[in-house]
Amino acid sequence: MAQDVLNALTLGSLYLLFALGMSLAWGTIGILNFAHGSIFVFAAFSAHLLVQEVSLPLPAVLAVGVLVGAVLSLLVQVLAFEPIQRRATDHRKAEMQILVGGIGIAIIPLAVAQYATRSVPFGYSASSFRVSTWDWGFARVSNVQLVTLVAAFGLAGVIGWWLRAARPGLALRAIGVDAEVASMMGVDRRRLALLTMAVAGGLAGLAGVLLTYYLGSIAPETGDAFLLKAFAAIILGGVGSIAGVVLGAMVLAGIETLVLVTTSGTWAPAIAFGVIFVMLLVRPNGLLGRQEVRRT
Amino acid sequence: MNSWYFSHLVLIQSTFISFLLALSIQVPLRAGVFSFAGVGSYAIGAYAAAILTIRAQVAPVLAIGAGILVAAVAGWLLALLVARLSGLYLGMATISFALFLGVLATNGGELTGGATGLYGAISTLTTTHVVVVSVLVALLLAASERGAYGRRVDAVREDPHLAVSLGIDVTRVRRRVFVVSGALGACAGGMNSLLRTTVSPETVGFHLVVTALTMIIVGGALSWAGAAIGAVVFTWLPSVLQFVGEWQLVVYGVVVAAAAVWVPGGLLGLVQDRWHRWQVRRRRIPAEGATAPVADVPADAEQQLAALGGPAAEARP
Amino acid sequence: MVTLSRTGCRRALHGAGALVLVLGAAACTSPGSGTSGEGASGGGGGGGGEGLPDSIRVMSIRALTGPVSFAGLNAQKGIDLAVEQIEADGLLGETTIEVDTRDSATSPQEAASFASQAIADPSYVAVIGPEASAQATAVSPIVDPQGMPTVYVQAGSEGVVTGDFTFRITPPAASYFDLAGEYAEEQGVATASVLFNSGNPTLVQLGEEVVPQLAEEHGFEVVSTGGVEATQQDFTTPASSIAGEDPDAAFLMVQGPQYPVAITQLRQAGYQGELIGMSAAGAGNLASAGDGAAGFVWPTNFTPDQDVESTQAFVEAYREAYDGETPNNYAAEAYDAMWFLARGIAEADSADRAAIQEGLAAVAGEGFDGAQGEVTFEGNDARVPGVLVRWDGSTEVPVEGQS
Repeated sequence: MAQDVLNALTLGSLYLLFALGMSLAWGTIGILNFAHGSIFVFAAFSAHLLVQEVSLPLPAVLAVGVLVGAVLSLLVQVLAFEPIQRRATDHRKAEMQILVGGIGIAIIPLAVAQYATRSVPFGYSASSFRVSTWDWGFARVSNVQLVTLVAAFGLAGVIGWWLRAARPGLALRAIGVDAEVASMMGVDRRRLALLTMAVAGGLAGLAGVLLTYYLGSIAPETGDAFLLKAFAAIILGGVGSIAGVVLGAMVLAGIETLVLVTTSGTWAPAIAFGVIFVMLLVRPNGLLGRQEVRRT
Repeated sequence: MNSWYFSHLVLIQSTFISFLLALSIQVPLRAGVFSFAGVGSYAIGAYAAAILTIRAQVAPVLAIGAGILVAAVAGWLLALLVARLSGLYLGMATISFALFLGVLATNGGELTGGATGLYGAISTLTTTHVVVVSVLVALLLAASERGAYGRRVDAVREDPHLAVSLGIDVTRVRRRVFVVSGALGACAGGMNSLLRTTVSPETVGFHLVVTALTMIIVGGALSWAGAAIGAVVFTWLPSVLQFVGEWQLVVYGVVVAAAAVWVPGGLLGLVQDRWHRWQVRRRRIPAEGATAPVADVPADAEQQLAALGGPAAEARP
Repeated sequence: MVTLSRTGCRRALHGAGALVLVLGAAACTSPGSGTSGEGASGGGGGGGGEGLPDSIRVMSIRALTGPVSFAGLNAQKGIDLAVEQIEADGLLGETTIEVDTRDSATSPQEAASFASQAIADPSYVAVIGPEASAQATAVSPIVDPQGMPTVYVQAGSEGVVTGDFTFRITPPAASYFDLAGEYAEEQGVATASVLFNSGNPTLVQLGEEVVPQLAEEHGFEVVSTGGVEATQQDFTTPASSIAGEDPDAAFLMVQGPQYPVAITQLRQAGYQGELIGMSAAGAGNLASAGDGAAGFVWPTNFTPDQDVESTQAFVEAYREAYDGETPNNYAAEAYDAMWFLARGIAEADSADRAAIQEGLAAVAGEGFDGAQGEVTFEGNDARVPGVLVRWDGSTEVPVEGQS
């Protein structure tokens, strides 16, 4: 039982790590980046290439992942999303174009990684970091599991604090509430959007590397599978709320673990999606989402 | 020509099926409803047609018709359920619905053939039937995009609040698009199963959502013609890209991204823009006052439609 | 003289370099001179391909990009090597084989489209079918009624071999899976847990039907059966439950990229018993798990070190052709598929599709020695003896003591 709870928390942390960056960009500057999964995989893959050459310790590998993720994310923002937002006349149309643009961009790094690896899973077995497990009697836990848990909750806490207390965070939230008024109040939207995308990309890279350590190895297609889960976690928790993402990820992981433990497992995805569906019917703006004014 | 037709028959058939699938997402989108239920309906139609054909050997029209009926009813019920949802929340709820059906098919045992799916659904459905159905659907939709009904739908999309105050029953329009989307999706799915004689959970998955959305956005989101352009482009693109060898997927991604970034009104918008400019140049100066402002406004499909006297004209606030 | 596939000049260049090396080796080590191959190659060699045109075209539908590119790319190498050897061997006399490779990128629609293009173009005499089951089940209903001989590589699902014109060179995993049962019995396994991927027909069949049947035959009990999602990434929870049940053996029926994660996490969860998988674990998928997966065993249709003469001849030729690279099962199967096709064509001594089908059926009736060892057929579906292999931490080695 204790082990199941711990496992659910770990799985939730994986979803959370992935979803944090996505949720940050979506909740503040309104960009739902479908290339997030691709950035995530490519950052992990770049770190893998480097680790093959030099045996690096864990922090260095993480730094590489963060850097690659941030750079890729900035590139996507400058080359694709900024032009879309500049040219679009209508907010909803821009949203759709960003969605499809992201889908298109996502294919590119994925195809490169697939080509380079032949879709064979890759890992960091050449890194100097070694996984070890401790048996506490009631549960077993590995060092990388602890790192994952701490990183996920720690980062969620830091970002939550940053959005509430720091000046750029406040400005970002102001954009999230009303972009035009925020501009009039002297908020530099472009600079903040770039900052947000860099942070989101960095988070994707960090998640990619941590996940590769935790799972031992990942295949290039991993990002796609996580994208849908993260999307579900964000919607479940409510867009624009960091606490909501934490809750959404944990609820999703909890349900999946419960189904895996109590049934034969083949129904797990159906139940997860069923629950999301029902949750949305009961709380149309997610568990902790902002109440939007609906006119009809 | 004849040999070309036979060797590309599968792609020709796929084009029409993709067209119908894209429409099943586009019809709700035109009314401002972001629903992917059409992909779920595709699964319903695909399995219903395959099951009925294999087990009962019924005529294709009945097998597909039954699927359409089931999916239309499912669409109506879904519309009642998700009445409170909008935007991406609605999108997620309908994606859940579609993926739930996929898992249902995987766990359906004998009836759905489990993970293997069903095969051997041999019927008398021909390409001609598919083309006729597609053309009929296109004609009906083209008619619905014009006139009073088209304007009502546009009003619901652009400003539901205003639409209500104009006396339009927004809820009814929304329910109706769910039903139409269900029927279109099921029709596409059913015809695909019978043409390919096989269906499996893999073929009714999430990738259909991506494919359909890409077709609509790149083709043009506001008219059936956009869906048609998108269906043609994305069905034939992989064959055209054979020559780039291993970089096929990269080029595909670049094409999708570039279209989304640089062609905001979709390819249809681009065509309309060109046509409009040509018209303006042909007419020369006399109506300068009327045409000049429109020509100066940057590409936006709705405005171009408005400039053409299209459906959006009266709906814009 | 040798025409490589049209797409990709990279391969053509590579092939030209490799060719010089291969011709010498191939002439003496060609598996075509094996025991049961004698009949076919004798018939073809003697006739010198009188009934054949100067060149025949075969379409090869491969997934060269996308998630199963590892299968497609290796298969292509196997086919290229086989073509070089067949021409050097003179099996088809002076006739050259032109393999036209099309990249289906794992799309059933693309695969079906290429198959119909091949049918409509009379210059194609046969098709080497796609790897993914979903693609193959879309191709079969097109090629079978229209009389296009098609040889599949992989494609383990039902609904692929549907009629006279569809052949499959990869034996279903279930057909040689008894090796795993024997192994479990030797190890004194009394209890076992099963974990399978619920999205893949072959894996579902193995998990839900084949392993319980083995349990009955080899005297062990299946204590739990669990399914995971097709794209499952994290196996912590199933691993913990299996570790909690602590059976003597755990059967893992998942997809290639899932293997290193599942095995590593099972070991981290504290599971100490036997781990048994299936052939998807091969082809380098375990490399990223390294020592963590040592001791993992699985029955497979091909391993480069299996003690069979025709296999060793293939491995040697392959290494010479591709800079010392060791072939995997996809390359071996595709190589066998090409040789099978060539033997069928030689038997038919004609470029007519119906005649080739009869030729293939005749070759299938006799069987032959190929890269996978002794290949026989049950109807149009291949069977091989199979071999049990173990991951020793860096490579797969045949398990000793197997009869």
